Amino acid sequence: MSRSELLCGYTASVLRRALDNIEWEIEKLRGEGLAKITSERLDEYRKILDYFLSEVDALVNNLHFSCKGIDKEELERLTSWLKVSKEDLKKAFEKKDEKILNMARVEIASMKHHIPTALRRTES
Amino acid sequence: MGEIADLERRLREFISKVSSDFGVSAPTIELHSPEELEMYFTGGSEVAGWYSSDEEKIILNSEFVDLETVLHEYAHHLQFLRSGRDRGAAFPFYESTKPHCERGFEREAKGFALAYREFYYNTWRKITGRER
Repeated sequence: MSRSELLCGYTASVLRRALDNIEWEIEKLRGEGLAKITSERLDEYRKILDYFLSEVDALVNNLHFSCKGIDKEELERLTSWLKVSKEDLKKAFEKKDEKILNMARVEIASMKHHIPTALRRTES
Repeated sequence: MGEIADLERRLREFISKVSSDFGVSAPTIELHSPEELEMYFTGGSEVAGWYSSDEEKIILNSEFVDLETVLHEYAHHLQFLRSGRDRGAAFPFYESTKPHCERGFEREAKGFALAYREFYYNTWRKITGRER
């Protein structure tokens, strides 16, 4: 396996892990109840989610460098899922809206399922 | 060869390897003492590193060289290349008015360094002889 293939595999696994972490934090937040949570606790969640999201940003934005031959349409799909889920997370926090929070969780999960398809090589 | 020149050579080798993995041209890299950096701008001696998109160059403070800083600055190089070498698109001016840690491109660079430090740790240690 070449170094660039290793890099691509590593990128995919870190991306999956970061998305898992986001999903896990959202589940915990839903368990605590978004509507009744204190603003201090909400800030803690916001910081944790920002931390994982900055990792996801970096990985997705550089996927076309780290995974050569990545499916461009799938990459665009991943990017737009990320954009939508970030906006929904922001909205859910602002409005303390459980439904929007769950939508963000579903979007994050969808991203995770799209990774293997996006990494399907277009080059022989 | 002086200590700084030797470290600079090793850092170039490291950056060249990373760039080969990402399939992009490598930025140049320069090490400066805190005193030299103070001449660039006030407070420069306390900055760990920065990326000059004009010169596609990573400038590092010789007192604070570590893997995370190098990867952080390298992320700015990828951002610049990704934008088609459009500085305004890579590092929008409106972002520059925000505090450093709230700028989108800085957060992404931080995320990049966190994501890839594990992957590059052994290569870093082998080439630079440094633990961090």
